[in-house]
Amino acid sequence: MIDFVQNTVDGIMFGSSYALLAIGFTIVFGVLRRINLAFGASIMLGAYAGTWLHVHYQVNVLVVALTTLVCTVLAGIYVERLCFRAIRRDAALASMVSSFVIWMQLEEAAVHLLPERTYAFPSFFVAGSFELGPFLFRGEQTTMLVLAALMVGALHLLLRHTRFGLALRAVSESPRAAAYMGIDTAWVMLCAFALVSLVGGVAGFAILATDEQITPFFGLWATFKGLIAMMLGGMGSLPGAVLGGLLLGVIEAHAQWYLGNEYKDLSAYLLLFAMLVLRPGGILGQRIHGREALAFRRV
Amino acid sequence: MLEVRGLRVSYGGLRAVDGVSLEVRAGEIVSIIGMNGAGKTSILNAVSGIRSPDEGEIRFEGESIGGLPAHAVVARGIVQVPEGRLLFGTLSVEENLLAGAHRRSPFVLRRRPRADLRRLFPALADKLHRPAASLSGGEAQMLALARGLESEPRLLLLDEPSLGLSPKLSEGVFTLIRRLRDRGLTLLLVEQNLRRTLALADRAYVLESGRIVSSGSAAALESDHRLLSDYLGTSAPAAFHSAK
Ligand SMILES: Nc1ncnc2c1ncn2[C@@H]1O[C@H](COP(=O)(O)OP(=O)(O)OP(=O)(O)O)[C@@H](O)[C@H]1O
Ligand SMILES: [Mg+2]
Repeated sequence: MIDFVQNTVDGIMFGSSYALLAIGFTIVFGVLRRINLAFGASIMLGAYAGTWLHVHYQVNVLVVALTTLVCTVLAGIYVERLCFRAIRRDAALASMVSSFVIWMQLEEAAVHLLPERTYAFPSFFVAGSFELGPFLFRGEQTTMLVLAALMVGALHLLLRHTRFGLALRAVSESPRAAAYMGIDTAWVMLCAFALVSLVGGVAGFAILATDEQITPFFGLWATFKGLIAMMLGGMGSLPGAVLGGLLLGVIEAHAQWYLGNEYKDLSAYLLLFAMLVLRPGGILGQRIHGREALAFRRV
Repeated sequence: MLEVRGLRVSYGGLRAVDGVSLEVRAGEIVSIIGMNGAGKTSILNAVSGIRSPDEGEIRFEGESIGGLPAHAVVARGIVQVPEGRLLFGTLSVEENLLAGAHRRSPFVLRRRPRADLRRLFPALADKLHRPAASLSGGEAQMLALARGLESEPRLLLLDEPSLGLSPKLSEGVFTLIRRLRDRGLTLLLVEQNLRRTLALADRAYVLESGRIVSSGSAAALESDHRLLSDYLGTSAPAAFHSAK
């Protein structure tokens, strides 16, 4: 029982970073009805830029964090310009395929920057841990959870209470109606990419600083985890992304504990498969069912 | 106030608007009347920047606005209430209004009491927190109008505001249009309902297959029997309205 609770706690903590990745996919899906396959790769490129400074100039961890964020945002803007702005809105498949191509391109760029297999990533978090009753809280994971909670809270405020947030929700609902209302939809979409890249950059940094290393598989890994978490929660739903991320983290933690390390990723795929069969809209997918149906008709 | 010269709009090979010129003076209600597919919406969309025209000149208060993006046109004081309303269904009534006010909102949104809304749109004032998708047809049209007015336009483009409403509800919409004009707003109104529209408008243009075939003061058009019989069949207004 204590193990179960401990695993759940660990799962929620790590799952909080999955939630941030899922938010990145879900917001772009909401605004553009597209899956941005290059998302993980843009985070990876940002993190590689930070790592590069770390490797060559031994810069402070805060500089690494800042570089990661800035370069992820720049990569996100580049992706928007190249595969989403340049390609017409009704050409869904073309922009999805092109985001796949950009994925490869960004990964290539990252590997050119740092060609080795693994690099050390600076650890930011307090390495210690503390106990609460029989449970152990690891410092770096607790920081990750706090960071993710702060991000989600800030995003919520931004979406509900600011002019930009409302414009973003309006564009998600109907770009055409938003244009009639004088909302600059192209600008909103660009800002949405910058915003999710910022969120993704925070997630990427938190994950890498916990792992204390970075490999060329990070882009693929981040894209998979984010996509799975989003699909679990329900495409286009922000609470769904948070829930999906936490659920994915918890399932993985239990699978790892009870079945062994090699089942961790497998459990995630099985879970996604079961979800797609039983409840294709995701946990919170019901509410957006109509929208999603529309999206699939367009794809 | 608004001047359109030689406007041409096409979709692929299909020419929807073929050399239309029209004018709206400050304080007027001007109407464009025509059957389905005549090109009415295409004209409005060209004016509001939703679709850029192939050819022709669009001037608003002396300044050329042809080809400007929609948000730049709204910033100059023209707003279009689109056909079919296009409300933000999952957003609340209040959020729809706030979205309408986008161009003049501060960064942090302020939800304010809406005394003005209560006066013009009493039906909406008590439903501010309901999702727009839950409104009835009449309320939805009121919200579409209220949302458009939120940007404080000087010229309002209305695309078939009575579409799908019962005669009683459309009467309400027409009354409201009159009140808006009395408050100093200029309106360009697209309608299919000939009789009601001519009763409301100062002047009208009759559009057929992308061309203006007749224009003049509403009173003159109303007494134009050739117009009624040629374009609208014999039992004109009813047939025209039910053609939709
Ligand atoms: N997006 C589009 N793509 C292709 N053709 C279009 C498009 N929009 C309109 N058309 C065509 O252009 C012509 C004019 O359309 P428009 O919508 O301007 O007419 P309308 O007078 O507003 O009709 P309605 O009364 O049905 O709203 C029609 O023949 C229509 O089929
Ligand atoms: Mg129309």
